Amino acid sequence: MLLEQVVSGLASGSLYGLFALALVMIYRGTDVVNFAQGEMAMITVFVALTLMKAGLSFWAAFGCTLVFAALLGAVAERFIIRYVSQGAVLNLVIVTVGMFTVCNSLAGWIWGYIPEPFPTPLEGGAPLRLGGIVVTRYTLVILAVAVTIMVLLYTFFTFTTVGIAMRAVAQNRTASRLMGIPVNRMLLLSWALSSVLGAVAGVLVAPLTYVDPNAMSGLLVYAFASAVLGGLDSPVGAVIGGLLVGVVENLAGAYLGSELKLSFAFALIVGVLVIRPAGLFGHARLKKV
Amino acid sequence: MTVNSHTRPRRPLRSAIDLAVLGILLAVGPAGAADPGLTSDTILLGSHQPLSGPAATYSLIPRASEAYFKMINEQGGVHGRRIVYKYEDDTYQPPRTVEVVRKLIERDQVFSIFNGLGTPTHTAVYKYILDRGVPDMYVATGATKWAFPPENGFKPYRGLFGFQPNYLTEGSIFGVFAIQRWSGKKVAVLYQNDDFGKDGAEAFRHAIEGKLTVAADDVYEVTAVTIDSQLLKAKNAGADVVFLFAIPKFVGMYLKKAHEIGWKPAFLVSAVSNSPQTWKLAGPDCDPPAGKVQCAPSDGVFSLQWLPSIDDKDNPKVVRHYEIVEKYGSGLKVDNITIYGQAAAELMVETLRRAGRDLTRDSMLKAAESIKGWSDGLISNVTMGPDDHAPVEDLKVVSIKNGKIDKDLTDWIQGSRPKK
Amino acid sequence: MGIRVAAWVAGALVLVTAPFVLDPYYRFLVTMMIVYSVVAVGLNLLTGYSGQISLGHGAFLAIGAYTTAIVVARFDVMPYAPAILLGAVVTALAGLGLGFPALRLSGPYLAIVTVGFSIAVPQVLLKFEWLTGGVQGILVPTPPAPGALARWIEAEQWVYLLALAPAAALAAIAANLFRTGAGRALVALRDSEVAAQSVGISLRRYKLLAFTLSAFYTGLAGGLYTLAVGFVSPDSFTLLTSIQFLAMIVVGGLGSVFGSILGAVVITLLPNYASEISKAAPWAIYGAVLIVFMIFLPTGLAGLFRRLIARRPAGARQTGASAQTSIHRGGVRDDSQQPHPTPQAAPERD
Repeated sequence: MLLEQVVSGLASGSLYGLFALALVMIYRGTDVVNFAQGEMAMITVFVALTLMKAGLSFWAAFGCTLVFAALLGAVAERFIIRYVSQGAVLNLVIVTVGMFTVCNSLAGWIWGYIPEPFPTPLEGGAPLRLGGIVVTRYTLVILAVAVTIMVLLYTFFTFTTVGIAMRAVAQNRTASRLMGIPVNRMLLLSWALSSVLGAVAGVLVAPLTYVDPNAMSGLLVYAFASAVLGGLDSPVGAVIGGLLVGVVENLAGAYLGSELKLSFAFALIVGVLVIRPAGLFGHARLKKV
Repeated sequence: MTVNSHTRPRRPLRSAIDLAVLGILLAVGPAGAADPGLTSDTILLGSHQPLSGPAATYSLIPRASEAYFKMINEQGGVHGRRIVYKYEDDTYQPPRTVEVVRKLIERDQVFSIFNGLGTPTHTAVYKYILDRGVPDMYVATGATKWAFPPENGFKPYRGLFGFQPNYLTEGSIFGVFAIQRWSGKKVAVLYQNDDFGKDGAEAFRHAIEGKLTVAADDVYEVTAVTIDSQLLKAKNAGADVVFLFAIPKFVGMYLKKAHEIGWKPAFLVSAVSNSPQTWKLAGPDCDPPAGKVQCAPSDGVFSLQWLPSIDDKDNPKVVRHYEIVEKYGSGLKVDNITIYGQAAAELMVETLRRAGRDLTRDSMLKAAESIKGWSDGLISNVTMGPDDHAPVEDLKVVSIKNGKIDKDLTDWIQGSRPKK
Repeated sequence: MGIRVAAWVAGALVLVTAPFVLDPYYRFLVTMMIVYSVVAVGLNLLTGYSGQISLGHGAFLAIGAYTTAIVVARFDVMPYAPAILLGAVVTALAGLGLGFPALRLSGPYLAIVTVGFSIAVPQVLLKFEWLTGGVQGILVPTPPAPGALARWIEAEQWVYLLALAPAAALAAIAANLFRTGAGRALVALRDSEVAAQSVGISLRRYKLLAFTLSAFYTGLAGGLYTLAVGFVSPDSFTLLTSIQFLAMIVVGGLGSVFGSILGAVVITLLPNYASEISKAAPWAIYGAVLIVFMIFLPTGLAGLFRRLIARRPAGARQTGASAQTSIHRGGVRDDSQQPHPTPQAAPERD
């Protein structure tokens, strides 16, 4: 029973971790926590669903959706975020909240609120039985994708020129400009990429949570918590944070009662942050006097 | 508490002239003393609904009601009066509900509140509505307290009417059914962590007390991402029957997961989720065209019914519903929620009709209480009375197979009422 | 100077006579604006002045509101006035408690702790039914005006005035906070924690003070909320509520009491107008307005107001406005970034 709950926690944790990766992407590239991340992902999932209903195959729809997601992210940056990023950090927070409600409402207006199933060829097939515990193949698929993205992101930010340039932009725009980095293009790229990541996460998660305008909002809180727990600037932290949150939540639910399990999960996070204020794998920001 | 239809204070008569004038006025008709929200050709109804935010799924209900009212208006209205339905968004937040209901009553001067949605939201305003003497018709939640307010000794308030069969009824009926069918077996309960879930779960537990063992008793939050942990708990506890007092999304998740891991208990599903949409969510095998394998485990899925299913194309009323939504719905799509919306609207129209051309708040309340065994609309056997403000109390247990309602397993069962 | 005094007196007169003149709907709306203003001022103390982000003020409101509701209605042990004060004190203690883990955190890390608080409190309220009435909530009757006053003042007018008095007092205290040593210490900490500490300002003490004070304000507002709305339930205080309060101070202007009030007014009225513009997607309008505000008014309404005043002809006093600017420079800034140009400057364009 314990092991089963742990495995189940890892499964849901990988969902949280997937979205946490998108949050980490945007934070590392722009120093912003995007509250609208989940809703933007939700819109891309709706687009994918619409394309599939129109007859496209899953993979064709997926491809088109990724392109759409990149455009969505770029448009959001160019026409909204760009005009706010010089002000207080909180202004950006409020703007992303505004984007959240706009996306949520628009999705409801265009596609309605009734949850729909999201078919995917990645599901199905007999579940695996490992020592008495049942694990669906899809869980493994999600875990595999999460780990892959994590590795890709880590490599990107640590070893590639573009990735390092993005980090520079997030830390200090003026200096970046002086170094010849095209700051605005980097910001655009950050938003586009994180939107794409969100779309990937959304499409993977949709078969389990179904598609409706409110499907992602609960997930966003978990993703946010996971990202912070792991350290907002660490892709590895995002995934590990997600897995931890999933497992703790499940165990709390199984042994302490489901009514307060979310509260317990948060208590854990607070506990960790008190000891490591930048998250498990995060780096403390150097403070300038 | 009286519902006042006279707003003009009485002045002592001074002379015969006044008497004569008064006599003429009375003869002509009490048009001046009419209730607010009424003109010679309109009736203004008000409601609070979650049009955006987390509960926005239910926004289809007022739209469906509106579509039905439009149709009625096109046919001449009720005794020559058009129904104007003003529903305001409260985003399912009680403080907003207070704001919009005050606006409807103080500024818009509605004739009656109709189909206010949500227990926490409506609880914030029902006393205020009663105090203002405004009728509160057909509240859109299954909370038992609208028709049977505990603080009033379970006697209904004059101006407050419930609508759907309450959650107490659902839980009790399922409890009795479970005892009959699975005596000696183990039961798991999963319910939503709010008034809807708690009400039904408690009734169920009460009904099976001593007769069946509750092996697992769990909640889930509406914002939850998965319910796997609760499912595993129930499975490991050896439950043979699972009572799911949950909304469609979570019923779908639960059935799907159980099917995936090869666990086949029986499922008792709340009436709220008795919809083809739910069975579609439960898994690709449940979608009728592709359905070769039944999505329900062999012991079956059971639910409760009081409204016709949107799948029931043999039912002329259902067909008519599709037509109404198509023609008057402004882009609305049919779902069991829209059937609900129309059913409520039908009842409201019938109530107004019975009140006659001489419509007042008082005559409307009397008319509502006079409805007995009415089955002309989507709902059967609507009955109310001075002590009975619960229009719909009957449910039947049905079995679900291959994504559709399969069989009626019982006759109409009368709902439960809370005892002191 | 004379104009200012006159403006204040006129404003006060308007506020005090409003409940007798307005119709019940608007009277209720203004009462709610008063209540929310107190929350906004409290939140601004924490976020605008002290630079600590909080997405947990819905939970503080809940604690204050529930405390009052429990002792007045559920167990009937206290009259309103002390109950509201009790609510404020209990909430202040909660704020102190939250302040401890918050000591070492900032930015999104602090935010997530407050988010957790926002989510945990309703769950706890739901769970302990014997105390809180659980999912059914607590209905609280509106108090009538006391004794002889009841002949001239209706219950709801009385509630309005009962809310106005402490709100005005608290606003005045907050506005003058930066004149005190404590207030200046808080602002210094916001601008640069390291520099402030190096001149001997205790980070620990003042951060805790900020949380406690902010929570006290919000808890008191909670008691007023119970008075005005007459009903509390776990669903009344969600994460969404906390987000709305944050929107109030950002739209109104960070670090400004006047801004907090303006923000409370705007955000309270916004859903009404959003519904009128679009029946189908009111939230979309709400969000769009927020975005537009942030693009065109980054220092909030208070900033706009200040700019308008500063543009007055040379004879008018300018020192007051610009002195305020230096202290009320908007924003929670991440210290790893270079200091921004003053907010009134045009944003850089590449």
